Amino acid sequence: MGKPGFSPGGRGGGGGGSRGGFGGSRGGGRGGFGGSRGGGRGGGGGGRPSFGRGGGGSRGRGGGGGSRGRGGGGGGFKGGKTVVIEPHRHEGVFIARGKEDALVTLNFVPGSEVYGEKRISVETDGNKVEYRVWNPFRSKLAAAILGGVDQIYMPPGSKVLYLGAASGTTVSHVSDIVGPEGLVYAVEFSHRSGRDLINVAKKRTNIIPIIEDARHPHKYRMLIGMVDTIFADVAQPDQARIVALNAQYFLKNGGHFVISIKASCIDSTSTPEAVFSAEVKKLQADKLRPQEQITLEPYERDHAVVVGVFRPPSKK
Amino acid sequence: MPAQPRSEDEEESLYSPSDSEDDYNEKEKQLLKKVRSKKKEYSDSEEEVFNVGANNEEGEDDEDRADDDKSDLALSDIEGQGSDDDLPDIRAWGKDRKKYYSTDFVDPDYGGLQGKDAYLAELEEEEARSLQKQLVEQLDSDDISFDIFAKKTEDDKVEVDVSKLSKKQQKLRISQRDSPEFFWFVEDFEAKMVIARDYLNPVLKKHRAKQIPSCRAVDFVQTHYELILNYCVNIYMYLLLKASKVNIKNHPILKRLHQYKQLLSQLEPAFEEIVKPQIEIIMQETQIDEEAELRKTDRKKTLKLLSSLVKKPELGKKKKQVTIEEEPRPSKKIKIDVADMEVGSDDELAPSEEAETENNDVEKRAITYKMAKNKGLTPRRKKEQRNPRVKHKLKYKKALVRRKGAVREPRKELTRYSGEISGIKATVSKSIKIKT
Repeated sequence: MGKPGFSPGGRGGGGGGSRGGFGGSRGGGRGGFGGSRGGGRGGGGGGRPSFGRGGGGSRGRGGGGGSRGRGGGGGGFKGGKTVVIEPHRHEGVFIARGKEDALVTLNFVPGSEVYGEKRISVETDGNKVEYRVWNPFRSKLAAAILGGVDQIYMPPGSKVLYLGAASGTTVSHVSDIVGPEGLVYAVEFSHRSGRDLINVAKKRTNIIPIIEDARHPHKYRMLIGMVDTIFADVAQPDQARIVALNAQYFLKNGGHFVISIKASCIDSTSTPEAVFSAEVKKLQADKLRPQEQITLEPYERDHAVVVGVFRPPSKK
Repeated sequence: MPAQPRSEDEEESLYSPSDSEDDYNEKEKQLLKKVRSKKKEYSDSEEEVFNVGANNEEGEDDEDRADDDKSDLALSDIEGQGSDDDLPDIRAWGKDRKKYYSTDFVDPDYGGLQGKDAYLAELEEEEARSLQKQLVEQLDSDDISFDIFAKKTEDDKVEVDVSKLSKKQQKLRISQRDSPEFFWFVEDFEAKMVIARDYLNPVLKKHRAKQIPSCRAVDFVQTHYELILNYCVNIYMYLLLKASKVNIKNHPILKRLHQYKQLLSQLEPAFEEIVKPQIEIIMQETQIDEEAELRKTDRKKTLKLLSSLVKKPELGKKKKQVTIEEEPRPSKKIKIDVADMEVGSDDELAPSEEAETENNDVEKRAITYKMAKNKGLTPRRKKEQRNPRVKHKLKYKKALVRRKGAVREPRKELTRYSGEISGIKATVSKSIKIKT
């Protein structure tokens, strides 16, 4: 039954407003998360919102005890555990601290999930807030953040050009980060994964899906305005050229780029380190000035993320 | 009705197979050929109700088949092939009844060889026979044969009641009767070995030591020696076989022994008349030399002893004087010692002299391990440094551990992702800054 002392809201009347809000969409897989406890625990952090999750006992039985939406359900944020949400150094990214810490983003569309990720629902002063867990194994941006990248240059309200959006896993989190004021132009060439991307974009109004080849930015130049940041995860040998081309079209001067490099996709014969340094050299030739580099162990093998600036303003 | 026969003719011409094969194509021709050949096979054969033989076909080109047929004993057509009497061929008679019933399997060699094979076999047999004959002749030509012993023993045979004799005697008697050559071999063995040991071996030794120059006599001795040894080895083998109670009546060893015996008997007169006296002379000379040497060494030893006896007392006296002069303080003790020495000099000198002689015999001291290694001043090294392979192995192991701290091992998402076990630190920045 969780911690009785700390989650009074969770044990409130069944069918409370805070329950079943999203559980319904999954066929009542879980009983729902406990309501907010209002006001942090034990004087934790000034002004920092902290939330508890209750209702552990009712897990799996709530909503008429129907079939469980997700198989297994082992691990993770078990009922009865208190979870504290605190903001990350990067704006728009949060950390959920419970038994295990997880990177989360504020769900842009509460009650819906994109790729079966876990959600943490929280209520503060009557406002229901939902966070989505960001899986570093699925998203290279998350892996880079967990690895300790210095900057991602995607604050809320910024416009991001996302090359190689795939099914929209990471795109959805980026859309969470940039928020309603921001925009994510998601470019994906494959129609199959483009379909999923469009489905994601249907619910998320700040995503503009573009099913085009990123090698030919002139084809979609009419759809995109100037952007603050380009994120590229195209895994192509001519990745640097693609990024440079798109940067010339859409990236504002002094804008930033974040590139994920898969060494084996560029040159499988040489060592990853050599590939990374060669890519950095290529970027430098295209007026993209790399600022930092980080490898994605332990989440990915032989991957690196390079963050840099495009046509930086000259120093005086 | 002239039309009728004509029509018949027509019919015939229509239905009878035409001689020309032009109408058929290649494939059909082949098929036809097959069918015809098959027909031929069966055409001549009579239908048999009880087909006893495998096949009783005649007019087959196959020779093997014909052979098979002949070899089949169940057939009675071999009857009276060679002999005039009415009896069936010997080969036609089987040992058991089974042979007279048909089986699916017909052994080509069954019932003896036929035709060419039989001829070849006969040739081979003849050759073998002739070879054997030669061997037998060789044996026969030997002047000594075991028959002699056998006859002797038979002559000597005394009718003695076996039961009266003791067990040992019984056994002896039996063995004498069974193998007369046995005792003779044992005696001969002893005699030959004595010759080899006392005469031949010393001479050969001397030759090896180069005290005797190699000449024909030495060659003779060598061959004689080797022959005796071989002969004795063969006797050994014979005894061994005897011991293991193998029937050696027709064993090749007997022949071999015989040959050796013959050869030895050829050498015997030459050895006895020419070589033996010479060897005796040589031996005598060597004996004399040895004795002389022995005497010499004795004399030398005694001389040394005497000389040392003379020298020793003088040395002792010198020592005493020196020690007293150099160190006057502990003189008392020394004095006592010296006095003792002086008193018992006559008695004590003998053992010390002995020790000295021993020292003279002992070689120089060997160098120590340290000297042999000659390492000089080397720092102490770890044991792992000795083996480069192990050194590198350990080095690699260590490097792996160190790398684990720098680069985390990639892992798979085996269970559903539920967060970072080790927590997340928001403020940390670990990226490598690239400077331009």
